[in-house]
Amino acid sequence: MKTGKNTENDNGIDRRLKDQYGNSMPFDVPHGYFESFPEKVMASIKERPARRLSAPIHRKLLAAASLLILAAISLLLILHSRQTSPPEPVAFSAQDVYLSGLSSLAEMEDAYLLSLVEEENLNLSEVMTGDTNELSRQAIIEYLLAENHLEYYLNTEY
Amino acid sequence: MIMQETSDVKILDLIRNEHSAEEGFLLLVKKYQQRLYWHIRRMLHDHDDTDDVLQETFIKAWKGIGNFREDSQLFTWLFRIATNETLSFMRKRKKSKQLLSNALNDKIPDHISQETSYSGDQISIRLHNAIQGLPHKQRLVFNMKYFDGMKYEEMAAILGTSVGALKASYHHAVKKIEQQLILG
Repeated sequence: MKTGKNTENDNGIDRRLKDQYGNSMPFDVPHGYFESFPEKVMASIKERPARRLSAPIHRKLLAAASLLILAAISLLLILHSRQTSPPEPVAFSAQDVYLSGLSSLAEMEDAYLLSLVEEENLNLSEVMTGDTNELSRQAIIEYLLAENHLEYYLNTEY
Repeated sequence: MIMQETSDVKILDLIRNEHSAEEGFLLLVKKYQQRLYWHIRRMLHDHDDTDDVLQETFIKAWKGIGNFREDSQLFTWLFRIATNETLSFMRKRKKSKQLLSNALNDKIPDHISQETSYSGDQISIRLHNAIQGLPHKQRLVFNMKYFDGMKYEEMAAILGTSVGALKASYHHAVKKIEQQLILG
């Protein structure tokens, strides 16, 4: 069977690692943990007040929340545009909210977005904007989405 | 006596019936708890943190089981939830550590907590410390391939990343770990 060079090398390194270091777990688990865990999680579920929503209702609520956020952002932009001070970079765009499809995007702080960029060792020059060389939130989000990074991290609806 | 595992089809049938939903869900938890536990524990190392994330995983599974479309395996779906919850936890912890570090004006070391309980030998611990040095996503890929023995196609379904990207990620991860172990 034809294999790529990297795959052959991986298998070799894999074997050396396993031969020398094994693949056991060096961690302790409290005695009886797995025996009692199922009941514990069931008890946690019963304690939570929210009922299980049916999928259509959940999606309607999510859509409504997204529309509310969009409306709020639009209102903020209108109010801001009336100010005499120089325009500041837009924190969110309608496209951002639409692309994410999740209200959690509104909670995503600059530090969090930057941590994603750093974590993925992304090429920052690709998300710099024009003459100012500033990091654009919109550029970061679109870049991460295009590279399938943000979609992975934002996948909170199961 | 070996307990025969209940099939996913049977489990889903039980869960979708209002009268047997709890029974079905307990079977689901018993079937997959250990595999998910170790997946999370390899990332977080700490048992209490793992317990929190594992609980949250199954709570989300309970809430979302109505959306499960069976276009993927049940375990793949659960694994994806566990993975996302783990990464989310790690990000929150990183943020709060940074805030705390800023507040204390001191760098908090990013090594395994001294309170983590180990039972393994030093060799195994060295390997896990080396893995700890990888970026989160690369650590995930490495753990899933090296410890879980997953195929790239299975990992792609869970992580939503191409097979090619996963192979590259694993290749780099193995190289980095080997270098780290040599440097000791």
